[in-house]
Amino acid sequence: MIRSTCVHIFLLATVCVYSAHAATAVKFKPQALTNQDSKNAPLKNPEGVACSATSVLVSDTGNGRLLRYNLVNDDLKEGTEIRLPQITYPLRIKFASKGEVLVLDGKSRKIVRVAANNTFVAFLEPQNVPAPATIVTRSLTVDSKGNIYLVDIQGDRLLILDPNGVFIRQITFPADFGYISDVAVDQRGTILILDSMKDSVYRALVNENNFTVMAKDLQNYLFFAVSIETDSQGRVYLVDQNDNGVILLGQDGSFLGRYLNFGWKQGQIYYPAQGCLAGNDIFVIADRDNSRIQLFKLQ
Amino acid sequence: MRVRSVTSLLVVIVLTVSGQCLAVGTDQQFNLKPGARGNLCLKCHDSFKEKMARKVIHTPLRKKECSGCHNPHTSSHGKMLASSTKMVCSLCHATMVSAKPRSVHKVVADGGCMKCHDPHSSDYKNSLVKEGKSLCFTCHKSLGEKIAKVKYKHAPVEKDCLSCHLVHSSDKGLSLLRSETNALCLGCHQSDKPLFMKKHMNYPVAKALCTGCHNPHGSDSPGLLHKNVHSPVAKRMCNQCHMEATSATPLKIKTEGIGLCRGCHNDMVNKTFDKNRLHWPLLSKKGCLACHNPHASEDKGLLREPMAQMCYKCHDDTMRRQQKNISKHEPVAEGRCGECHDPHSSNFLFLTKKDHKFELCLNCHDWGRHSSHPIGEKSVDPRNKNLTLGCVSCHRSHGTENKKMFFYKTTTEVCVQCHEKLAR
Repeated sequence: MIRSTCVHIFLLATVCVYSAHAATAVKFKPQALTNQDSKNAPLKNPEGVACSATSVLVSDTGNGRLLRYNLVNDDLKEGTEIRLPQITYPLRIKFASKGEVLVLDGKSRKIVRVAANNTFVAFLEPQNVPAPATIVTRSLTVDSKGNIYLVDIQGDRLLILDPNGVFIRQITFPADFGYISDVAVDQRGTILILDSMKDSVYRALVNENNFTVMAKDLQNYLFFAVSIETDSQGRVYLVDQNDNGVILLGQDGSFLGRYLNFGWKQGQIYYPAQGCLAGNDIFVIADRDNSRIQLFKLQ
Repeated sequence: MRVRSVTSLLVVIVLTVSGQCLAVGTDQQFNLKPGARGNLCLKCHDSFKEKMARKVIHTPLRKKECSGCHNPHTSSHGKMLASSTKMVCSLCHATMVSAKPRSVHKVVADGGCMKCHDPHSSDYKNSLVKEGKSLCFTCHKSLGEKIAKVKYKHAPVEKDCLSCHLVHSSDKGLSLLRSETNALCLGCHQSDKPLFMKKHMNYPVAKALCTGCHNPHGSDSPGLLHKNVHSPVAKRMCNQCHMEATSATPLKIKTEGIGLCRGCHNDMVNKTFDKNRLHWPLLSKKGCLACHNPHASEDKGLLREPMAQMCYKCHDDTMRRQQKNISKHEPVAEGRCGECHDPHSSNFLFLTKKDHKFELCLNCHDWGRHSSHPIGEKSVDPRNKNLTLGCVSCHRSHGTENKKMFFYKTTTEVCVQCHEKLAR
């Protein structure tokens, strides 16, 4: 009796340990890459990617245009060019509600709304925002309800707007922040901001009005992260631009792993600018200095 | 009752501390020969005759108790010290840094007591290895040289660094200052004197930061102004940027952010904003002041700090990598970031002045024009058809851990990245 109980406990413990490991460990398997549009024209220094379950939108920054790809069998197809006079140097890009896309233009520093049919809708003009009146957006994201989050480096704050751009609330950056470069919102509504200079991630739970440290002193794992993304399990992906890698953090901010390396060949990255999670566990990277988009299957 | 308990506590503390300072146990317990704690040592260590003749002798040595700091038998530390240099001093001198210091002398924090103090004896007060300013200038050499050369000298600096600075730590000021910067200055310079007010155009500068305009260590400019002075300051036209001295808020600036600077630097601002890529701090709340001092600076372009220090404050990762590099790019190593980068804006990646892959390098390296290796816009990189071959196809512009700023350890490794058939 005692013997069988011991065996059961041992088996249970083994399964638990294995499950815990399986829940955290990830492999980045190079899946596909694209370096051209539907007319075989090359990409040039893309700095933004936005993902949905079925498509990927790319800021083809060096060419001053957007490209819309379909995600088919874990690969990118088509690559339809979207060239708009309002977008001359697209950087960050995010899918919004009604199939629209929000694009941060580096030169005008305005946010451009692009319709699902690839036409210009309007500039995003935040309304009813408290002082300071000037807003400088460094990055943005959109949550599952369509609410828009802007990293405002002029006001040292995160602005939260409704899908029409009307102010809902703001959260000031944490004290002693260095340089906030990106924002992500997970499925539970937790807001995460990335401090590239202090190598830290801060978070604010739903309806919290201040940021607290989620992970700090990450300099042992990364050099200069510029992009943050979360998955359905609440894990956090940081794209390390200056040391060419992706860092995975757990829900509690613990370091889970570092992936990918510098290089020119498939599976290697060179100054990656933004990452996003598409359907079917595909992690898409704007591989800027390789002038291409790479897809990695998370296993 | 209370007095008794306090006395007992004090006795316990004294016994504990003295026990820690000196070797534990009595001579009888260890069967020590007379003088084994020090006198015997001096029989062999002849050089100590000279040390013992100095004016100031460290207490343990004076008492001839070498074993207070050294282990006579064996040690894991240099000079057979009983502990590391940091620890051995702190056994007796535990309180050199206060509980909540605003600044701590790095050498103290690093446990380098012996950089300033001779642990045995000295001819100078506090067993210092040198006297007065000359000791400070052993490490702060360039500052010492500057101070010696400047035309207009600050009297307290001439006297002693300790006029303004503390040596171990400061509770009140940064940079080991005895108090807040202005409080320190105003201790001697009375801001309500007519001459002081006249010189400062009647602005209440006591509420500002004196070192924003003045170099407390001395200067070649009258009034100890920093080397580079912003034109309106030099012309005493404070009201060009600030409200009138007679207004309710005289120190307030007329316009917030970049708008104020644009008033004079309009062309420069226009050119900056006309480029594709802006240096983001320029758009932050601090705007131009993120990097520039609006009044005066020791550095060209009114930078708040020397360029490398300024850039590395945010780009710390570049500094970290630079420290590991064996082959360093000269401008990077010398902190001349502006040689290749435009710190305001650019149409090129990394805010470089020209395309970083090839054109930029040609500014200094003529080799690119007569290289036998295909290079330039028409040469496609075999590893990635979207890229062309440039200097950075093989070399990393900031340097690497390898020779010749190569990405890979050996020349062969570099070549076979493209010439795969030649790989063995």
